[in-house]
Amino acid sequence: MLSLALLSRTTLPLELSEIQPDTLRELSLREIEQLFIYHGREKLPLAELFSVNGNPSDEQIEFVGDLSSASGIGAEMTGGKIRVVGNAGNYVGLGMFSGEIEVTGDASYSLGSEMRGGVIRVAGSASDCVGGAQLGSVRGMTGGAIFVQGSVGDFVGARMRRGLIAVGGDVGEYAGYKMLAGTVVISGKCGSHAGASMNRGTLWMGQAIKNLLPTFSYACTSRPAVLGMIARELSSLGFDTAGFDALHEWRQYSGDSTMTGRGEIFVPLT
Amino acid sequence: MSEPINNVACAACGLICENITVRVDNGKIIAAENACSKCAAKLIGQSAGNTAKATISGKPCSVDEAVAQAIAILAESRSPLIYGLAGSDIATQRAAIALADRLGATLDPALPAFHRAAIQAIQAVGISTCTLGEVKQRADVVVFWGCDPDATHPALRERFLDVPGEHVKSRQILAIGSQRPAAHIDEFFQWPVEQQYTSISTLRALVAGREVSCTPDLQALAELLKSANYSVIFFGPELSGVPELEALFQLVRQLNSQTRCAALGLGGTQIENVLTWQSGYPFAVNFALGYPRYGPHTFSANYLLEHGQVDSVLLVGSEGSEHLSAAAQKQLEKLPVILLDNASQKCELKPVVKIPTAVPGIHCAGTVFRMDGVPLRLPAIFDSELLSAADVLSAIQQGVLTSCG
Repeated sequence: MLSLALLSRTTLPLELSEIQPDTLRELSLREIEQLFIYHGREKLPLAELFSVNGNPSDEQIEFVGDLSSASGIGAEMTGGKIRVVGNAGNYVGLGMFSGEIEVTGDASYSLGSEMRGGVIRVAGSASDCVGGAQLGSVRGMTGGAIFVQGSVGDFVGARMRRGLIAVGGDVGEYAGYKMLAGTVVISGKCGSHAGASMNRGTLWMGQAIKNLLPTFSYACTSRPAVLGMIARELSSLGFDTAGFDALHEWRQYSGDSTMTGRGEIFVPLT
Repeated sequence: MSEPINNVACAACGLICENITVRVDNGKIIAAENACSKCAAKLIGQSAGNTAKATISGKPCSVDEAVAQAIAILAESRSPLIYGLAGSDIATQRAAIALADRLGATLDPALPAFHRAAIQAIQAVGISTCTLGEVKQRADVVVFWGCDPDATHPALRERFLDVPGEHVKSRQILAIGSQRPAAHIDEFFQWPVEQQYTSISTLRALVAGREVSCTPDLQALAELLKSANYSVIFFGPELSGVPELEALFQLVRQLNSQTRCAALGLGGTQIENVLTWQSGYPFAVNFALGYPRYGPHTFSANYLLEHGQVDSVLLVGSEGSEHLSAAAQKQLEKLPVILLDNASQKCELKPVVKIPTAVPGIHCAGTVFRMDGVPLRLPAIFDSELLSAADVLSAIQQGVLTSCG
């Protein structure tokens, strides 16, 4: 495993999208130390900001330190594993194809935005647009899975096309905004405007929600088999599914009727 | 008293009225005819400004010394931010973009939250819009949604709504928002800010003929918009979320399948146009990597300042700094700030370097984009010795090129 420990804390932007497990695999530690990264507008050798140790050949990278101001950790990664011991900043796993990212602290804006595959696990919280689309893009994440143990901000799963997002804590407003397909599982409280303008896709709520949009209508109370499959998938990937007993009955709402109306929101019966 | 100066153009709001006449006495503007309250406040008392001095840390100095100090600050900075440009002309915007590009800085025009959200909504779903001329000549229903035109654009009614148009004799004026505007409104729909998305969404369902449970006033508004020949919806500060504006623009598009409808932002001049045609992006553009990158959230001045991601700030005009959050304004006090501003503009900030610059339309001529995107020329009132902001920015850029190689 290659270890990159931040030498001193910085609040200026750090661009880390070039540091990928597969591109570093064949390089020596000396070559890795000389790789250039952007710190603000300055291009610096990696060794000026990080202490570089270990061995990159197993395609595993561990960042250590508070990387709240970093951007693009694991962006477009195609394999291997990145572990961040600390906070991870914006655009973690932006457009990633496969592999695994683990963050022990918090992630910020656009976690797993437009990812195509792979798994992201965040032990802390994340801010807006988890698994969402970049502005101007038609679709957000198209595959893979994102697990956030803590809470997340607004627009979780915005324009999501496929894949799975599970949030252990609360979510902000506009969950599943303009969702095209895919699944978002929310254990905690859900903010207003859930499912706004969703076309298709599933929002599975662990708690009752207030103020469902008037463009959603009650469909039925059922015990859908698909929820059991999602719960099994979640627990196999290590997510706590205590609030999601698929054997229970769930109330299903359909919407958004301003769009095709084929989206579904499952809420507990009580 | 000297002769009156006719056809003065005023850039106090986004309307750019060009019918102002000013009188100058003893080197100062003492009266403005045809001027609204905002225009009078902007123009009266202005002078050629030849006595304004540049300062470094509050001490007067020559402009050359101030520019040299600004160059030193920016050359040393690892993550500079260029913010402002509210009320600036095209030449100033061009110069600011060229400097940001050379520096690898982040450039963010000082736009209000609803204007930024509207740009993002336009990028996502598009907009069916019109010019103010069309409003005057054709609109039979005018809706003020989340805005108060009499407070922000006092001349709007007089110039465009109270006069009969070529194709319309009278018009119905509606308002939607949390508070009824002070001036006359034919019908008012009181909806709190947090209910706006739900209301627009319900209206969309009603206009599309879908069954949806709703209040009678929503039903009435949907019928009114559908039966109008040409409705124009002005939107403003209370619609500052991207989803609300996306939904509004989609509602307008839906209405266009049955009748004619247009949406128009009731804001200031369009200071994002030059940046859009030069970099491809309208605001929050970062040049650090040698090419423009767009981050409507993460490269916004508010985000960068709140998270300590910039280490120097070049403010092109203090106008518009009220759009910064309290945390961002607090951070601004801790950073080295270079301020290019007109001496008459009140500013509580204590910049390291302050350089007085000419105001387009008062001290120098310039071209700006009206709120509906129409470019208009602002002629100068005074023959001033003040440098334009574009000249100062170009001088700074030359210095930066020399010192950074």
